[in-house]
Amino acid sequence: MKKTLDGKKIGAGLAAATCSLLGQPALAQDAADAWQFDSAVLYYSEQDRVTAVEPVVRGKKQFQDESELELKLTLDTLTGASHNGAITSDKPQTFTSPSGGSTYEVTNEVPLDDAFKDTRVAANVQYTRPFSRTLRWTGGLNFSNEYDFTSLGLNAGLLWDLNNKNTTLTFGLAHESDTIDPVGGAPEGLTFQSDEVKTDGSEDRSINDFLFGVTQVINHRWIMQFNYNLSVSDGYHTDPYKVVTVVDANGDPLEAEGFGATNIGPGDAQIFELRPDSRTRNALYWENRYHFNRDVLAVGYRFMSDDWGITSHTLDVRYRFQFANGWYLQPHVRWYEQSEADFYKESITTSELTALQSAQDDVSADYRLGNLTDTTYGFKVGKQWANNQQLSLRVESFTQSGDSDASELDALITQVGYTFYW
Amino acid sequence: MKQGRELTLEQDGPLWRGRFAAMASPCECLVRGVSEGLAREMAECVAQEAWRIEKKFSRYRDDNLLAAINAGDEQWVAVDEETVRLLDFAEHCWQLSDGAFDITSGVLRRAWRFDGSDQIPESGQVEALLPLVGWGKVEREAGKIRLQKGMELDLGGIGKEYAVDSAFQLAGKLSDADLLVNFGGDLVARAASTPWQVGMEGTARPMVGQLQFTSGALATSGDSRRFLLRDGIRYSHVLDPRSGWPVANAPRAVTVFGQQCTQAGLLSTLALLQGEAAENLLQEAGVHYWIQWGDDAPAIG
Repeated sequence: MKKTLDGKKIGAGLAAATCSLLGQPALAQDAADAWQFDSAVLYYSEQDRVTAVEPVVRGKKQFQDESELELKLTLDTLTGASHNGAITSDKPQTFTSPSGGSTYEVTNEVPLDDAFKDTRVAANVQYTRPFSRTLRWTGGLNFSNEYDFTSLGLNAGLLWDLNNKNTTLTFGLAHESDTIDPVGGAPEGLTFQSDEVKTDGSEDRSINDFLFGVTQVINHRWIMQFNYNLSVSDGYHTDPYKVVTVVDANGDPLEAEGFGATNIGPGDAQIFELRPDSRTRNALYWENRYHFNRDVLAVGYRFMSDDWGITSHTLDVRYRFQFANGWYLQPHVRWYEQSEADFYKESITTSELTALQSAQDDVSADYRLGNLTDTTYGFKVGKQWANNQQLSLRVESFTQSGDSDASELDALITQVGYTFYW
Repeated sequence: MKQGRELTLEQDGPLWRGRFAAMASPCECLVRGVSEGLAREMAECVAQEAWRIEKKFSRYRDDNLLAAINAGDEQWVAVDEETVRLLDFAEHCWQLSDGAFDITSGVLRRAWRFDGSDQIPESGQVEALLPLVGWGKVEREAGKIRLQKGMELDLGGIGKEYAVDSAFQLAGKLSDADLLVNFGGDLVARAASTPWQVGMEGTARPMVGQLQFTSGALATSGDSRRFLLRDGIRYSHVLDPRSGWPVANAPRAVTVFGQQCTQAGLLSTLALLQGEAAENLLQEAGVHYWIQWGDDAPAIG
């Protein structure tokens, strides 16, 4: 009886021998075996407000058994100022800083909390592995940490190829557990900021996601993708640093002392916002990619609706001009529109405050929960080499408008990306 | 040998299909989304490389390097760098397979003719040829090789797959476009996103339907039509160079999906040479494969 050979050794040996036969350099020899690294640095700058610098490194490796491991590390550095929720008024308004102890006064400007500095570190691990010819499972862990926020998540999914791999069905479940530890404590909603009624200790939130997706190859030029996402979030959703201004009949800010609260200066009738303790979101995403002879057109549409009353539409169009020498140019247009949450108010009157306080109802003046229209224009230019290295530059202009002065925002997004193998 | 060296180019939507004949097979070069000029340049590049390798290593010619090596006059023959790489590769396969893969085994064809008949050679005929078989008997020094009298090298088990990979590599440098190079069913392809669909029609592959992939290679070894039948025993054309006799219970054909065509092709050949242990070897190697054992549906893994 002939002794049987070690197939594993033969498979690896042949792959290596083939590379030396083909005269592929030592680096390329490992290419099938190499890690792919996508690195990028994003620079986001809002006029007069937040500036973010975000380096990202993503490493991806495919193994012989067609399993795939992906690791991602993100670092976010935010500096600048963000809107504190109050109205923009020609009368002076006085606020306390998040940590308490100090106050600041704003007139004729969008009230910004300039103690806005944070560094976020996020790490993701995702592993995908086939367990039959048509089925793959995937599992992942996410961790994110910043000064006042920690998030831990895990996900699991199943990918099912059908119809000669022309159809892929995706089923996914994810759970995320967040801990919010606001600077200076979590304020009691609907109380006056000047009173600084805050509870020590952290707040929690848990989010459960369900995803169903279909990817369909329509023909050799056209691929369509359709996703449905249900997200149920329970726990603390309030932004602990945002207030709502109590105004008089003329729309001018009132005084806290008029309500028996602490006087810290003019226009200090600012109450802490309060949001619901749950949120259910339904989102549909539909993407089409069409390959012309050389160029690619991608059109994506997203619809989102939640039980806070927010409905949003996003349209995203990208066209990639592919040139024969590896260069490409990709113009990008994105349009986003959202309707306001049921409890969104730019400001409230005395009678509204009384009603809110007696019913312990929700209210927020965060412009991100109001009516919004965003447009983004930009382009990406890149060069891909035969060894799959790729260098790219993305520049985009972002413009936002909404109901309040605070929602008017311009930002510039710049990203440099580099893909290499190691 | 200028005749037959014709290249035709057809367009089908974004797809350019260059066709030509080489190595006794229909060959094609498929490119997506480039100009006609670039498509022609890439197809020309593939065809020229196929014809070059065929001319240099074909055992059916008497004017090439292989003929000089096989001249049988026991002289040292100088070999170029490409040939050294091919010989090194053959030696590697010989080592990996414990001598089951051997490029000196071609002389056994003097005794075995797999024409579907019942002409089994006398054992004396096979015995007489065995001294001429065995890579271990080949002498090599840096840049040269010497064969014993009567021995012959046959690179047929590597040449076509090597030509596919080499042509793919050369044409692939001309553009980043999606590319597929196919020589008689042995092929390698790459695509940025839209996968290639490879049909099984008209090939000896033990596969049914279509295979879809963005990058990878497919190669088939074995030929279900080449065998001898005597006293109810089917003798496969897969010869074990160590005994000179057909490998017992060898599959009729094996197809392997791999990264390069040469790797996939040799893996399928080594699997055939393992006889009934073929599937075990492929499973351990961790590749996708299709095995045609008898007349039944192929085994897939």
